[in-house]
Amino acid sequence: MFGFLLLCFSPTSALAEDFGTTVRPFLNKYCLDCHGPNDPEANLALDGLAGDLSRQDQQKTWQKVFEQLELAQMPPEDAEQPTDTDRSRVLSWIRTNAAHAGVAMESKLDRPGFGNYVKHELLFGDSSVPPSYSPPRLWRIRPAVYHDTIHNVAKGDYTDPFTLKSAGHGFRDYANQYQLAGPDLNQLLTNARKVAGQLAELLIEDGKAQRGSRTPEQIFVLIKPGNPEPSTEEFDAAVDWLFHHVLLRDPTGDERQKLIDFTRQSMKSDGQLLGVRNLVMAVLLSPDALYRSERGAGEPDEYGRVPLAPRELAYAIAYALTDVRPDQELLKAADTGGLATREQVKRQVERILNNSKIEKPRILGFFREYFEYGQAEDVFKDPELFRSHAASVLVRDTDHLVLHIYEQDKDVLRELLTTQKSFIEYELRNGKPVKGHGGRMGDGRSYLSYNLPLDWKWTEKQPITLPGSQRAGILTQPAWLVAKSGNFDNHAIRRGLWIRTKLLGGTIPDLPITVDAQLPTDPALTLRERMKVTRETYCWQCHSKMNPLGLSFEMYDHFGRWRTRELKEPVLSEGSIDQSGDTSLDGQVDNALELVHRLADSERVRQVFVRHAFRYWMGRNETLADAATLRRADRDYVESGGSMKALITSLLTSDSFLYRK
Amino acid sequence: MTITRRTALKGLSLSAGGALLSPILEQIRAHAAGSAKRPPRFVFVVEGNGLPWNQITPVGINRDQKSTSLVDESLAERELPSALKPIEHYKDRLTVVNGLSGRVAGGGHSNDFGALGVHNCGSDVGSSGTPQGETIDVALGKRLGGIFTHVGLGISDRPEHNVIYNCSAWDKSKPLPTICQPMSAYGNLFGSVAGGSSKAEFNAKTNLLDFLLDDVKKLHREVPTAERDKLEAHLAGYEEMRHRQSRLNEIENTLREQAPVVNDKFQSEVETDRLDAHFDIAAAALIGGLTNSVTLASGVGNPFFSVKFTGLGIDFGKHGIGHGGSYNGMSWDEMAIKIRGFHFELIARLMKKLEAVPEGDGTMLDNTVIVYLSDAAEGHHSRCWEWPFVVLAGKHSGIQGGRYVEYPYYGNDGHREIGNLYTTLLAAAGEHRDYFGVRDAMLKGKARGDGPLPELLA
Repeated sequence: MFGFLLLCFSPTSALAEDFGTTVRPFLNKYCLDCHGPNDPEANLALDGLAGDLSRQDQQKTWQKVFEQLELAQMPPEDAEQPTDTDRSRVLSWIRTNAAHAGVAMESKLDRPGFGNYVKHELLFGDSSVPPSYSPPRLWRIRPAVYHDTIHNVAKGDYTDPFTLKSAGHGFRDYANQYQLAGPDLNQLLTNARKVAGQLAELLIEDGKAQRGSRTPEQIFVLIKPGNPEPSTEEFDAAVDWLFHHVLLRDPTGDERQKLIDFTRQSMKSDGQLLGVRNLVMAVLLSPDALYRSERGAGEPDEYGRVPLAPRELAYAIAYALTDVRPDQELLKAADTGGLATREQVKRQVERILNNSKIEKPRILGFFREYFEYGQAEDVFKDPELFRSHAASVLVRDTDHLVLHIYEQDKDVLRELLTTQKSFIEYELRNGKPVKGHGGRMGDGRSYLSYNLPLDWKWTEKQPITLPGSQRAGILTQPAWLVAKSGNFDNHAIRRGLWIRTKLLGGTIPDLPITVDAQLPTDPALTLRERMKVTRETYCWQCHSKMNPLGLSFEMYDHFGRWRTRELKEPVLSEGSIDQSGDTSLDGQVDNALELVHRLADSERVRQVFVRHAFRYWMGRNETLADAATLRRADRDYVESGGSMKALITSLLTSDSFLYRK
Repeated sequence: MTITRRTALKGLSLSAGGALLSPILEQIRAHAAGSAKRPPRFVFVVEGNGLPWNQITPVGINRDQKSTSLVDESLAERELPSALKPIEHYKDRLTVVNGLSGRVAGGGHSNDFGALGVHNCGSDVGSSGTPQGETIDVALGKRLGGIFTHVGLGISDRPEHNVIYNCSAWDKSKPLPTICQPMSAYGNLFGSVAGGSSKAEFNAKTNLLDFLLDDVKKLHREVPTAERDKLEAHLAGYEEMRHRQSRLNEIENTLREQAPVVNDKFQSEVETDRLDAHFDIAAAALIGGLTNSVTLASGVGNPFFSVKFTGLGIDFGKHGIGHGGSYNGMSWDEMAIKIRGFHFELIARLMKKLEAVPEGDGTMLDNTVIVYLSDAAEGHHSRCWEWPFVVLAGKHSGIQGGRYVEYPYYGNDGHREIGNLYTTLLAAAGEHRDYFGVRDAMLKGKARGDGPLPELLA
């Protein structure tokens, strides 16, 4: 971050002498009061730090300093603050010197869940900003894409060699999140062997050699008896077939030669069949099949950026929207100069978005990972307390609501936050609506979660409209409420945390390890009363940013049912928005309904939503260098009347998407 | 700050330096050398959802939970609680440890990597967090060396999980897998001699790995520096596999003898069967000399812990049990003890297998330490004021058996932490550290201490 602030500060000048003139005075001024030699806070003394990152005994300390400064968590809020420039000067010094010493400073800002630490005002203000770009990168393919690739050539079930980790409050498929290492590679090899067994299968029937049902003629030629030394042409044909089916392209001359040499040698030492299977596996396990490359190609422009290579771009577009590899049209465009301009890219993106026959699981995926309502299925509820609870049904219903709003494509965020519509026990089977059920979960009356009357009759005319005094948008859907609940209670803190980070763009530091984070369990007290323990000054610094938001949802119980009473008394649902960064938002609210309506009107909330869409579709956190992309995306969203498709199109035709530097 | 896995592995393969032989060869060597002393191997059995101290404390010991003094007495005359009955036969090797704390791990449904790592990994409902350092099982594995530095096996609440990352870590941000499918574990460990696959296939794999290594190296030269880390992990993975091929080659005959017999349990839908199969695999891996450190994780970590032990007639998740639920006439603690007892049955069987293999002057069991704990410390919603442990220590392991040890309560003089216990295990393996993991900054004066626990050292 702070990329362009640093333009005035050349890294080459970050020599040891800068420690004396820049870093040491900074530490003295802002840190040593608390982190000096005598009884330092958190047992962290900084007075002895030398300006030498190669000293192993001090590397951990530097990492801590780096982290605290980068996230602006230190100096504490009530202490004198350094300017952004001073801060970034020290950060840059640490980074550069660490690199010289051969160690990388780990940046939390790159991790899922830390995107909000980039100041909103700097991203969306009026300041002039340079053109955007992404760093060049290798991105491990997603599990779904991997399976698609395999099923394109082979049949059967394959154990997932790698996963997308649930990353708490961040998006899952970040380019920097995943490596391929030990156990993944083991499984990849096992799977590749199974595929190779099908693609190079030799059957002997009635003494005659036959090829397996999945074995192409081109490979069969290499394995059939009586052809121990196939010709170069025969090898060429097999390598071509594999490349066309696995990597969707021609091999280069070099690739072809290397593979043929390898296969010949392996056939000699391991036998004809195993040698050919090794050829199949070598292609299946080539880096090209496991990573998507986004390195860019061609001449740098005046800002030092290079565009993605046409093939890279075709893959990037396909993977942004679908879980399958680029279709013929996209590949053709890439190979014939049809992705050279922004307008051409836009046409391809719109073609895919508007073609209902192309499945686009990435769209629903975004909303699921953003709202996190899918977690409802992970929250254990005692069936004795409410037999009709069926989390999977609730989640599916919210899926349908999200897709419905996406398809209307008008004022999407506002609709998501305020709609009274809802799908209830709704499922599509072969495109036809049917009454959904939760398998072994629930007693088949999950409509009771929405406070519908006991004698409510299922209808296929959905969505239906719920009372505006009870529901408004996703955050009042039982799926979301349950996802943000405990086993026996609402979870006002988690609800508040979600709103603080995902709508207001705020940050909450990790729970300090010294905190014993437990609420008292007295059943005679309401959650609001029990949460009073968080009012202690030390706790309240963070909890003031969550609890008043989350407590407005006390108008629902922990199964997501609207209620007016709690422990026989009228339920208290008031809350407030504070320290939002947008003064027009701050103030008391009577309940969650007023809260979500107010949030839905906010420019800041809309922009924070855009920031999250950016993260999902770029596979990384935004930096200040992305300001231009974000502003353009926000403008496109507003000018299109709140169209999600316009927002996605804007992001996928942005400089951040198209350029590498 | 990252040291690449590759560098770490290089260091490891050097330090391991071919020192590891299969126990049988080791035995021959030991006899020839006239000495039988070797560092012990370690097995961690981690069970999710908490371990209330009274379920492992011998009958008749009335604990003052907030005690101020150290208790260190023999177990010989004590009756074991019902969950520990299956290991009655090994009572002289059993040490029950109460009173250690692990507040730094943070608490909750699971402490995930923090349970074996002694740190807070920032886990939460739905996420195991990120390890902040190496975990003790892996630290011991690194110390002891092995074709596989560490083997993680276990079950999750979802039968479809193949590999999860929940409790073991190589280093900060480098979680190691827990393999949940016995067949997959079997393939990983015994693939080189698995039924039907020939020597030729094994060799073909070696050739393929050489080719793939070249392929990735080429890309490594071409990508920008920032992306090289990813490929270094990839390269290190292949190099490790390649190295392992050579090592497996050396012990092929032993492996053929020791590989577990694959049966229905290996692909069973029932979690007790799969856990049982994992214990079989663990025993074979230890006896075959594939590793010196195994972790068996039964429903460990967020969000994997709510296992239903249907094989024991409990069609009710452990999360519900933790919340005091009842099922089919059984109360929560009846179910918890029944499930715990099942784990100790499996432990007893593992011990018996190790006992049957001669090693040095005794048996493999004599050179093995089994440590049982819960990743959720003392209860379903752990707070880690205390963290009960069961230790089964081989006669030559350097760890005391046959004791009941209880440390003064959190904050009192003489109090100790789980990091001290892990420091003790490291000491038994010949590695001397001041402390393992992160220290609890709230403990002052005599309520904290460096080094191993003298009461547990033999």
